[in-house]
Amino acid sequence: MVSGKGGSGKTIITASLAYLFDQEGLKVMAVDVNVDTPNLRFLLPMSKTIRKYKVYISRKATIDDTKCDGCLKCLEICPYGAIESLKGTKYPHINLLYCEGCGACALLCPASAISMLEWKTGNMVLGETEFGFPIFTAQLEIGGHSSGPLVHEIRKIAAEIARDMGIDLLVVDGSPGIECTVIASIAGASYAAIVSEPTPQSFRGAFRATKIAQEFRVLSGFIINKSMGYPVEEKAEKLLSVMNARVIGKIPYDYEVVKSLAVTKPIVAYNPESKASKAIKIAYENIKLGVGLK
Amino acid sequence: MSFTVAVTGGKGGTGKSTIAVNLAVVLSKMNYKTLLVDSDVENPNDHLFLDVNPKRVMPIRVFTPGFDVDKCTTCGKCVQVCPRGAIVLGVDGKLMVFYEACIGCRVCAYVCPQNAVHDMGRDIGYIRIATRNGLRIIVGELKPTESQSTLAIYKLMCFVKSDIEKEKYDFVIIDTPPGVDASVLQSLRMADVAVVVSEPTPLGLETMKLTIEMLEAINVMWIPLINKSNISEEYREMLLRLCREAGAREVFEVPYSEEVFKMNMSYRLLVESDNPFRDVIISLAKHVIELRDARISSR
Repeated sequence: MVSGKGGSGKTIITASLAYLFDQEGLKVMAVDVNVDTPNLRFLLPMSKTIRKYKVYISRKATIDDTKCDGCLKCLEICPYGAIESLKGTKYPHINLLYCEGCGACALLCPASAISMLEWKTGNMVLGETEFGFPIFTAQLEIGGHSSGPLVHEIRKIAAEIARDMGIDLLVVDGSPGIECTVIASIAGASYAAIVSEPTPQSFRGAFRATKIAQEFRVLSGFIINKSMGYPVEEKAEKLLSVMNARVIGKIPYDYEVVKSLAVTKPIVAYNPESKASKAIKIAYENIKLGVGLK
Repeated sequence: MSFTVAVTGGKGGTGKSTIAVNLAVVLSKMNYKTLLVDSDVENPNDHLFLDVNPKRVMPIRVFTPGFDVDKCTTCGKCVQVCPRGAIVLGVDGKLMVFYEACIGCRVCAYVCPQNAVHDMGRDIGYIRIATRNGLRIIVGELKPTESQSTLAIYKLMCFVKSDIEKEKYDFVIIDTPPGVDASVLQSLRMADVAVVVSEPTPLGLETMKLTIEMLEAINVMWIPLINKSNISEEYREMLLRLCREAGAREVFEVPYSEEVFKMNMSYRLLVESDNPFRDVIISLAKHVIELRDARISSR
C-alpha cells in the first residue's frame, strides 16, 4: 500500500484489508514499513508482543584522538556539516546527530584516525493484534534516516517471519513520499495498491508510484480515497486510463472513518455497513482477483 | 541578536505552517525585523499563505559523479565504497549512477585510482526569496524526483546563516518538515526555541512524545501548542498531562473553527482580522519576545 502524499488514508485501508483477509480465514500478517511515524499499530492494536528485534544497518564516524593530528581536513569534507571544531581543543568533534555515515572522512583522514562504527537504526517488534493475526512494525531512532535499505531490511525480516509462521499473505503499509522508500516498498511485491486523495498534489505522487510499479512489473491498482466527485477526479481517471492503470476502488468521504480512528479500530470492523466499508470491500475483492486468490 | 524560533511537530497536517506564518507576520507588525524560513523542502507552502511568489535566487547544487570513459578501467572501487549503493557496474561494463540515491559525498572521486571521476554537479532544488510588507521569506524547494531533502536543508540553512549575519534580524522563524528524522534535525540546528504543534488525536499524542524526546536530546527549549484543541477532550487532557509531566510551564491552545479553514483557503491571514486564533498567536509572540529579552539580558 503506497501513496505519494501523507494523510491520504494508506494506514486505514491497510488495516481494513488485513482484517478482511483474516476474516476470510487466510493466514495474514500486517507489516508497517512507515518507519518515521509508524501508526498501523493504532488501528490494529497489539494485544501481546512476540519478539523484539534491533536493526543495525547505519554507520557513524568516530575519531581516535590519539591518532588525530588536528589537520581538520575532515571539516571541509563532511557533506552534512556534522564535524565541528570546538574551542579549547585542536581536535575535531563529530556531531553524531548530523552524521549520515557516508564514510568520506574516514576514507580521507591522512592520519587514519577516523573509523566507522555500526549504529542502531531502529527497533522492530513482532506482535499479535487483538484480532489474532500477527503484526510487524518498526520504529526509526530519532534523527535516523528513513531510507530504502531500511525498508528493504524490514521486508526481508518480515518475509523470514512469514516463512517460519506459515503466513500466506503480507499486507504492507508503505511510507509516504515519492522516492527510494516507495521503490523499496513496491519492488518484489505481488500487488501494489496505490492510494490517493482527490487533490492535485496527492495525484501527482500517486501517478509516480503507479509508474514505479509498472517499471518493476508489479501488478497495481489505484484507489481514490475521500472521493467527493470533484472534477479533478474525472481528469485523474482519464490520465490513469492513458497510463494503462486501473481504478479498483473509490472510497467516499465518510465521517464514520473519523469515528473509527478515535476508537482505534479498522473501519470495516467498527462499522461494516458504512459507505466507506462497502467501498473498501469492493477494492478488497479486486485485489483478491489481482493476486489470484479467487 | 537574532533569536531563532522553529515551528515543528511530528505529524503532518497539524498546522505548523499556519502557526509559523502568522507568528512571523505578528512579530513583523510589532516592528521586529523578522525572517521566515520554510525548510519543508518537499512541500513548501508558506509563501501561499502570504500570497507572494518568491523568486529563485540560486540553485541548491551538489556534487554528482561523472566518469571519464577514457581513464576509467572499471576497477569497481567506487562501486564498493559508495555509501548509498548509487553506483552500479552494468552488464555492458559501464558505470551507471542512480542520481536519486547519490548524496554527493565525493567518496567515489576520492578513491578512484585513475582520477576518472569528475563533478558533473546537479541542482537538487532552489532557494527562493520574497518580501512582503518588510517580512522576508526564504523558501527551500526540492525538485520533484530528488530525494536528498536532508542535504538540501543543510545547504538552505548554510544560506540562511549567512543571510542572518548580513541582515541581523531580531527574529528568525523556521517552519520545519514533519517527522523526527535527520531532515528535521538539520532544520533545528540554529533553533533557540521550538514551538511543538500537535493535535488531540492518538497519532498526535504519540508524535508529540517523539518530538519532545528529540528536542530534549538536542537540548532545545520547547513550547507546546495544541491546535484544534476542541476536537477531542479526552486526548486534549492526555496531551496537557504529557506536556506538564515533561516540564512545560505554559501550553498554548488553538480551538478548531471553520473560520480558520475558510480563511486559509482564501489566502487571508488569520492575524489580519479579529478572531480567537489571533489572540493566541499574539500571546505566543509575546512569550517568544520575553524569551529573547531574557536571552539578551543574560549575556
